[in-house]
Amino acid sequence: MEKRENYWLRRKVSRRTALRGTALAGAGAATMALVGCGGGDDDDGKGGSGPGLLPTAAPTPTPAKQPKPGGSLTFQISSQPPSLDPYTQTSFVAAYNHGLSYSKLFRFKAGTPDVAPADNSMEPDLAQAMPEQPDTLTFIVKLKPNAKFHNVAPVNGRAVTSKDIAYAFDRYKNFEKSVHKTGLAFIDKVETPDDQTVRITTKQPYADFVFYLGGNLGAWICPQEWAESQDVATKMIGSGPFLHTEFKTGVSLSYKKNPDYFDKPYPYFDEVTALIVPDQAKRVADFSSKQVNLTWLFLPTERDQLKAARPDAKFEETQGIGGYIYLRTDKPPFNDKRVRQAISMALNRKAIRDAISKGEGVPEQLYHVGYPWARQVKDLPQAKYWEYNLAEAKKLLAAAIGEGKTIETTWEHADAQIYTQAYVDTATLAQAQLKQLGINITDVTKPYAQYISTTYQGQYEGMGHSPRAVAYWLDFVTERFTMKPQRGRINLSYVNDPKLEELMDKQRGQFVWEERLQTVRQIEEHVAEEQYEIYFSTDTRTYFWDANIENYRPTAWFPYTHLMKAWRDA
Amino acid sequence: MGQYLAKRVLLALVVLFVISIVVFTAVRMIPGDVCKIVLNTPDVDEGQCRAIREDLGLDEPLVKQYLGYMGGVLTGDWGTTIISKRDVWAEIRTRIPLTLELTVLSTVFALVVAVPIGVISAVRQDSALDYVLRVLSIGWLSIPGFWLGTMLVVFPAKWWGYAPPVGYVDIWEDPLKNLEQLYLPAISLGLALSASLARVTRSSMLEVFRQDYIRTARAKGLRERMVVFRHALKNAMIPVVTLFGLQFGVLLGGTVVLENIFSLPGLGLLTFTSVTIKDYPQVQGLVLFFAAVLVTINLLVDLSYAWFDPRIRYT
Repeated sequence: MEKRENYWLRRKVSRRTALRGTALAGAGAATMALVGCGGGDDDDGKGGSGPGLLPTAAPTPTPAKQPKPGGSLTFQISSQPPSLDPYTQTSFVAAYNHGLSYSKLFRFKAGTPDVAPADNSMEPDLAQAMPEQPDTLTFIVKLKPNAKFHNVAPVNGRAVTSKDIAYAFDRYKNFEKSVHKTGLAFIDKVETPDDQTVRITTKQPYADFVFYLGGNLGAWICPQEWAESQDVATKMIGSGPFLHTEFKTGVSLSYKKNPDYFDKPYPYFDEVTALIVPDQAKRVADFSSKQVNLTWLFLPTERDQLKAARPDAKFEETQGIGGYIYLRTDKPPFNDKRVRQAISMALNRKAIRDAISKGEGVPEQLYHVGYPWARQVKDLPQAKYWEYNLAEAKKLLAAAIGEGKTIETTWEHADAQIYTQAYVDTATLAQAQLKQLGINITDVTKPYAQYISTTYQGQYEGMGHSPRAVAYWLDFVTERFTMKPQRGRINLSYVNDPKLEELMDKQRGQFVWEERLQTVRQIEEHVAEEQYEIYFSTDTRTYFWDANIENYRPTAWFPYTHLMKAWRDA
Repeated sequence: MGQYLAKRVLLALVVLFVISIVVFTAVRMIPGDVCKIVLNTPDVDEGQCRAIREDLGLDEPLVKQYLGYMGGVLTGDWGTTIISKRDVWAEIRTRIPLTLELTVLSTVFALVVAVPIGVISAVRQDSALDYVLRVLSIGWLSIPGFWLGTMLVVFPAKWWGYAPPVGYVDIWEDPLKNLEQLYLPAISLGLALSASLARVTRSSMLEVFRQDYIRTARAKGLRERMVVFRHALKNAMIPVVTLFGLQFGVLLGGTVVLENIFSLPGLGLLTFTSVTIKDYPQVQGLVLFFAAVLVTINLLVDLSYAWFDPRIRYT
């Protein structure tokens, strides 16, 4: 025991440094993600600090007001969750709803005015505090003693115990239909010394432990009684702030306040409704007509329309979704990095931004989206590959494949249904630009379901194109370049690079942030040089909400748990 | 009549049988792996996929799958959706009222607009009013329902801050709110139909006006209103009803887009969602259901000819 304490004390500075480092990462992401917070009072028609998402904004503390419990809130989601079963789904639409009725060990802090939208900092949820870490492989989590499941059958308000946590992680790792096996592969074993204590041992030092278990995937604690029921796909029974009362297929999901919620005084709203509204124009109309209290995902055109229609509403722009090109780096011609570099230099990203998002968005993206430590492209030795330079690109291409030769290839992508028209338009514009380079592309547009089950599984030749979200755990962005089984979730570019592999493994186990940052920078430069993925700019997405909703701020993270902290100043 | 009806019903069953085979086979030929759709992630292994295929019966021979499926359909078991595990028929059944109401409202709107326009246009043939109405109907015909629907969502919200009530309320629960939710999609859906019906009504009326019995009616000294509405209109309705029967499929197809635009949880939105997420059992069930509805509607249209024109006898 003494040895353990000594170890902890000895490592304490490093641990804190590590946490601080990661918190900084989150804060940086937040600043990148934030443009400004507008409202009726200060509306100059521009919202905040103007177009672009460079780090200009800081958290926006608001004067303390006395919360007023009660009332209801209605928000919109863009499609129906395919299933609400957290063990068999990775749907982000499902994650919005999971956050209202399920809990995790940790949760995002974001969602209140003092935390910026893409700040991935965590706070305890079911856990009493952040985990104790007696050594690099062991994490001890104490559960809140008053945590209870919802007071409905079959759990009837029983206490949440360490056994429930162990069950959940076992199911995530071992259930035949679980889709989180790889994500949680870092867990070696989960022990339950007593009802309130969970002891998790990892297979290797894993610096993203808290971030993964506080995130959207493989983290929700759904009790065994419910997880093994047929109804788990259409109803949620957990320990979260709201009771899931109704799922009207194609229409809405309804929630009521959980009176026994362990984290008092939350939630404030008595009722919350998530309306399923697939059509963007309808979402705009419903908020314009004041029938909805909170809405989001608007590109600049709709944003401006909504600002005109609802000058009273508060709004905030956050970093949108960045797209990237992936290509078969295991085969000619894309196995030659000069070809990939040429492609990146032949893309006129500014022209694409101008055409699609009124010139707004983060101009240059690396694979670490948004974090301040992930340098701006201009600060990289490889910055020239992001500069539009058709002449230089042609030289590189000629050197790689021969003077006067062209490349015939395909570009596979999904239709606009899920990923929006902006994504499809980006593909169209980029293909036209690459034709000038000498790459003749056959566009292959697939229905989303077909795309996700073929191209996005790596079943493609030539090139592909996908959007990407802001990752809340750092290791995610490195997982995409590994060929190791049970390690990489997806490696669409077929990268097989021992040097990169070594660096990725190294950073994963580095708890001391300064050390990890050094490794991450090496990775950044290596990937920038190789252009394994070719990144577009990101666009902006805007949230709008009623002016009298207090203690609310949008987040880049999907779960809507934070709605429990909001209230209406009627 | 009885023999004719029996023949038509038998033919309808054959059509449905063929459609069921085509749909069943086509759905299974769509590229993409169902297990990755079900799990919605690339993070799956072959063992998981095998389990899912077994669950869905996709590991069985195609003929056995088909027989099992049709056996289920005939006994009321249409299977379950692949992701949410909901009952396929229950999903269809609960959405029929909304789509039925929407198509009925669209039809009523189309008829209310089309018949008077067609009649007036025929009665005032080659007048300025005729030209105006014909130009209008051609214009409406060329407006796609999805575009009109989007405009009806966007501009009232932009100009007056108005949008139909959110969500969906059943007509028996709150009829006024229900109608407020449905009138805009009904107009969007019915406008193009009204245009084509108006044009057919006009041409059909003109043809009837040239018939001897109309001349006789006028010669008898009947008032023009009596000639038009009692003698001409009813006889002119056969092509209109035929067109309506043919257009009903278009109406149902239109609900797929319009229910999506107006977020109405009917069969159209269910079709759209099911196709998007590649929910085989649900898509199969829906196509089979739509086919049955269309076959039935066309059968009823054929049978209605005798009512419109008593000279018609079925043998």
